[in-house]
Amino acid sequence: MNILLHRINAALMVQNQTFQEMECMYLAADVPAQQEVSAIVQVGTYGHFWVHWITLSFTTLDGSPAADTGIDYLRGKLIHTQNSQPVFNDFVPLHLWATPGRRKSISGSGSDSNQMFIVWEWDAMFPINDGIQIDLKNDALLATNSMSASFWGVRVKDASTTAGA
Amino acid sequence: MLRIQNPDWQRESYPYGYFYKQGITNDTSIINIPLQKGLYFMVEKAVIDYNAQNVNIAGAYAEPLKVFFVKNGMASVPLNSPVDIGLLASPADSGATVDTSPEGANPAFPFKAVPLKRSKMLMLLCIPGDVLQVKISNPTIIGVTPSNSLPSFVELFIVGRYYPDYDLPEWKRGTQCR
Repeated sequence: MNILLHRINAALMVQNQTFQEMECMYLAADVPAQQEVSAIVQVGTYGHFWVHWITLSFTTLDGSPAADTGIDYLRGKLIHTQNSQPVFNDFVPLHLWATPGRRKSISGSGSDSNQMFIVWEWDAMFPINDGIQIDLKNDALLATNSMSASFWGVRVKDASTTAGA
Repeated sequence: MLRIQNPDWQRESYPYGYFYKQGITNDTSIINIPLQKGLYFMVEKAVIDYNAQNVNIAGAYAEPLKVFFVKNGMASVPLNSPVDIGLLASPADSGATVDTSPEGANPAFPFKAVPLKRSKMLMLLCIPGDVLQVKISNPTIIGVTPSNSLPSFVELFIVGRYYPDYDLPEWKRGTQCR
């Protein structure tokens, strides 16, 4: 039989769950060769969004027809949309902060996809009416590359949010 | 169970990442990190990737670059130990096959997409006024002149967090924290 050190206050837990809940926001984009694209997901007014972790994967394609070269052509910059406040000083190659990282696209070409998965911890608050934006640049000369990211965090409700406090 | 109550949490502290890509030869390189004035900055983690090349020494890829954090001109935490480096597996995987010349067909000379390595939790605190630098030495290229060695490139990504000091007068605090 398990004995808990602390007594669980069920009423408080239920109350807390009313005001904050886990959520995952998903963001994806295709970036044509030698172009820049802004991928945005809006936080909305339902509640503030406190990001805890990011997972992100991307393709490594170039050439015509496109071949999987295993080279990281995509660079990204995280930005708050509300005040255009950047979170990085520059466009950062995705393999320096993306996990699980490379997504092998075409079987039989290129090296293995990245197998190791270390979730990337990153705490940041995106308040209501803000948005999570990644500006992406594709350095591939000929092929479109794609990126998909998940932002895992907690939706926080208070008096200023439409969900109420 | 913690209830998150402060929607202005972002104003109390917020994350920031610095990325630099730099060419290096056989000399030690210094990268200056321009910290915002009036704020504390806690370096939490750092990820480094590089392609080391040399035309003279066979197997020159074996020795990884050494990377040190330098605060106010002195080697800082961790005590002279290089931070975790995303060591590239083999010459074939080193990015040497990529066009690394600035005048080449692809000026961005992107690297191989190597798996993300877990960084040490550095927890290096810079107080307002501190000068933060990253020193990179390249032991791969030994005893040769720069003209004999191809340039190597290093990608450095530092992730940290800015904190205000509410004991400072308001005009001295960072602009994001008023």
